[in-house]
Amino acid sequence: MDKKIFKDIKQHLKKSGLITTLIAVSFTLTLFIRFLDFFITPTLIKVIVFVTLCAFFFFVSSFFIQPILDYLFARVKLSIFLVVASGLAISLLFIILPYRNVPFRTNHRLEVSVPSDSTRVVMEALSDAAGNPIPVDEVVPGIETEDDDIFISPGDAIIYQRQMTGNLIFNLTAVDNPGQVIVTWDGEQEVMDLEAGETRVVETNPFSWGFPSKLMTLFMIAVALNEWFSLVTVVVLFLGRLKIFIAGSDWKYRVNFPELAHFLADYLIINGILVSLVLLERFLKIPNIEVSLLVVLPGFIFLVLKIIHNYFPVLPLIVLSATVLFNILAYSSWINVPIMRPYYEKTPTFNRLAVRVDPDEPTLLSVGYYRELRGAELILPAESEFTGDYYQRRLILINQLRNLFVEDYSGELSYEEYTALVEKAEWHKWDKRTSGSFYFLDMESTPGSPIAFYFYENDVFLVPIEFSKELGLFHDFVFD
Amino acid sequence: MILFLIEIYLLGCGMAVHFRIKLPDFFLSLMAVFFGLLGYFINLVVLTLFKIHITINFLAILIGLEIILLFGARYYKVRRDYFNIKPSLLFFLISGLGFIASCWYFFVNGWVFYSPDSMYMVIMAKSLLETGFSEWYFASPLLWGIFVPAMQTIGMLFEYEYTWFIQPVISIVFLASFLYLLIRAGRKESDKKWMPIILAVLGGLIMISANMYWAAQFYIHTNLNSGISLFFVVVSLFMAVREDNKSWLGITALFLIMFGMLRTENVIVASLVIVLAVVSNRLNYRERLLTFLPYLGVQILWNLFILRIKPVAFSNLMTADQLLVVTIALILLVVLLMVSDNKWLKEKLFPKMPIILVSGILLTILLVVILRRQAIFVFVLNNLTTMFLTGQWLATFWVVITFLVLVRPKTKLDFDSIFKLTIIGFFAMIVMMGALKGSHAGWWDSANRMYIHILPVMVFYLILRLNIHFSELKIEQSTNE
Repeated sequence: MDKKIFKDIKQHLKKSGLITTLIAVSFTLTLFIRFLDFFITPTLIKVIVFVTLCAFFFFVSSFFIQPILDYLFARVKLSIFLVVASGLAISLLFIILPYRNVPFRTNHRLEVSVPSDSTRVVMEALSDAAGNPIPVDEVVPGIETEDDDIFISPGDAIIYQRQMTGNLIFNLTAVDNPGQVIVTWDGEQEVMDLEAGETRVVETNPFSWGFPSKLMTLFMIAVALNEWFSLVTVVVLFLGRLKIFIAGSDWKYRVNFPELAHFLADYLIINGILVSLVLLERFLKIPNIEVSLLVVLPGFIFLVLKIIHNYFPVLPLIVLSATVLFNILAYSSWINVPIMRPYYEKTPTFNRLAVRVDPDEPTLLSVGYYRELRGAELILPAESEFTGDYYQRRLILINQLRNLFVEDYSGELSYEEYTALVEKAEWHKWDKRTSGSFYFLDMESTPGSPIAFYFYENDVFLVPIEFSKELGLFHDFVFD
Repeated sequence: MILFLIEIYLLGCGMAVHFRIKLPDFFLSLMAVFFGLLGYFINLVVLTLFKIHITINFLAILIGLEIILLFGARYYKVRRDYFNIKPSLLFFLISGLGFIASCWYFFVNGWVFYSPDSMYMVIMAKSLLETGFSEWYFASPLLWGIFVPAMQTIGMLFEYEYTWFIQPVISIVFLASFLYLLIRAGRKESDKKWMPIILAVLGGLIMISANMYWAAQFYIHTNLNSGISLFFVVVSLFMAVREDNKSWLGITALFLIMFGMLRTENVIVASLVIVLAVVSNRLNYRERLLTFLPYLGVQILWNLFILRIKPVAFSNLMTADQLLVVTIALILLVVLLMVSDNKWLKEKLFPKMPIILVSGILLTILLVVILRRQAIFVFVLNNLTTMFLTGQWLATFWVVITFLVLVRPKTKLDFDSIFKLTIIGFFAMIVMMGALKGSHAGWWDSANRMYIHILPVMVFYLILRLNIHFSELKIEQSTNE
């Protein structure tokens, strides 16, 4: 493939014809509306995803589907038979199976009422299908609310109606006693009994047609017809391909525009994988509207780059240079991207490193007093923050401590006790992550000795039990 | 400490001179830094294994003796040519001065990047010096290899609390070697004078300007060193075949050992590279044995030693059973290596191995997808998110991956499969490890940091392809005219 690529694509577009384009658009719309939140997706993303998918299906259609169509067009009777049979079969399928709507833009009405014999109910965290919160004063204008919570008193009701896509999500809580609440969504009523203090997450039916305008009704009919058309096309194409296969020597299946198809093979493979990924992501119900854009867009960019590269082979040189420039500029304030920078340490110490990496206090303590803690027995005053579940678990886990005791003694040191303790020995002092210091004592002479915790303001002392006895810190807890 | 660093460099020179004549002096003078550090590492490990208390004096004397032995051995080998002094020998002097100067610069200017892992690695270093292999705190060789902790001991021998200056120095030496190899290899593929240089510089810039890579140059961690050693393993193998100069294989052998001693997972990629090299039939039987057996021997012995001491630490990544399985796999690899001269294997099986390998990788991924479909999707999405958006790579991966797919020169690069399959295998490993370990979308995600392992290889491969592409362009133009 060389510079005549544009000519080929132009010729290709001309030759491919209306049906190919129609199939591409139909497949794109079906995929987008049925699986990729067409109606909820913001307009710009909608346009990009549509163009991306449509370009992909257009090439698939003209390379691989057109030959089947050519075969069928040459056999009018067979074509009519296939179209009628498939059309009837799919119509039957539409009648037998309940047609599952897709969320679309229509007028919805929500009414939440509390019977007069119920307790007061709170409605909170009201949001739309995309997770955007709905301001409370939009729902109940003029009524006083508290922290975006709507209090519905017995006998009262709130009504919220507007044009929107999808459903509403909110929480309902019975405040004091067990209560009852009636939620009416587009005329469909649901009565809910709530226990006292129970919070229930309510998600209204996203597929409700609500009260659509005439235009939207027509649009929804068009969506249904489009899905019908797509399914009929798939069946006709499948049967047509089967017929070619069975016909054998009668008609040999050949890819249309083989040279161009070969040229675009990597694009088709990449985009095919990306589209499958998007579908898989939706199938696995990972809700993120932007994901579809992020996943399918690279395929389209690749196609554009491929065409440009074919015309301007020096493209890699230009893009590489531009990328280097962008990357370097990213380190300046000109481009607003978060940048990681190495720290400048005037006097690099291990304590400084340990504080910088911001571990939790038990980790910092253990790292500072490493080796000594493993064989020791730790005694913590019951009031200390280190007696929290997480801190205890962490201390035991990272030091593999045999024993950790929480005792009811006052770990707070008086100024005199603090002074006596500081003067008692040469302490290893380690800056704490937040403020204050850890005071450790070299334990190598008495390995495995019990260590009690004491505190003076933000400082933490790890004191060997012998020391505490000598200094009179060993209060009334019993440690064997 | 400066004197000790000079001694380490001389140790590297002692190893590098054994490659002289066959490999360029400039390249060897840079390699001397890595060889010296590897030599220091081996000394430290061997002494620790034999429970010899390590002091700087003892180590300095031992290394001094080794330097004499290494130069003596070279003299014994090439007696007549020994004093055949060439101007290119000056490169050793310049590189040595550069090494010491950069050590001094980063010693005075403490630029350093770290995370909790760095903290645990420094403690591993302390454990190595204080209790040898008998006790581990927070992290052990069942989480990481001990090469980086061993590097951290250099400063500790001189009463510093850790060795903050060594990582940026390693990075600078690597960049110089990277550019040199890229220009050298590029010139083989291109008929243009300046294009290989321009592309090499662009390749280097695209790599170091990625924020993650930039930070990794100062980061006390295993990632950049893994990337460096994998790069030298793959590229020296490629150069050995491309230049038909099997002295490059010595570089492969040494860096394979370094690669294996850096991280527990590295053994997977190392095994993949060995299998690729064996089945390519581009090395003869003797070359294969001499290149790969030292690494496999060291790795197996190391694993058996770890199994024996059973290090205990809360962060252990592997269990003893898993390590046993890895060791058995390595023993099987040794068996494959030993029988690789079999005619049937060479003629029938090996040519089909690349396809079998790719199919095997795809099947394994498929199996992982089936077993953990929801989780694996999230993990892969996280991997892609970090690579392209949140992993601090800026635009680097966008461009590198796009052009690796987009630029398809008509002339195939010799020994192309070593690059292609290593890259594919690496990413397959990332996906599979995601299924085992989990992942998240922050820069500190293990998989995101591991992209540094493969980035130099990817950039090197891309730049070589671009060299061919631009050469073909000129030919096409002249044909059209």
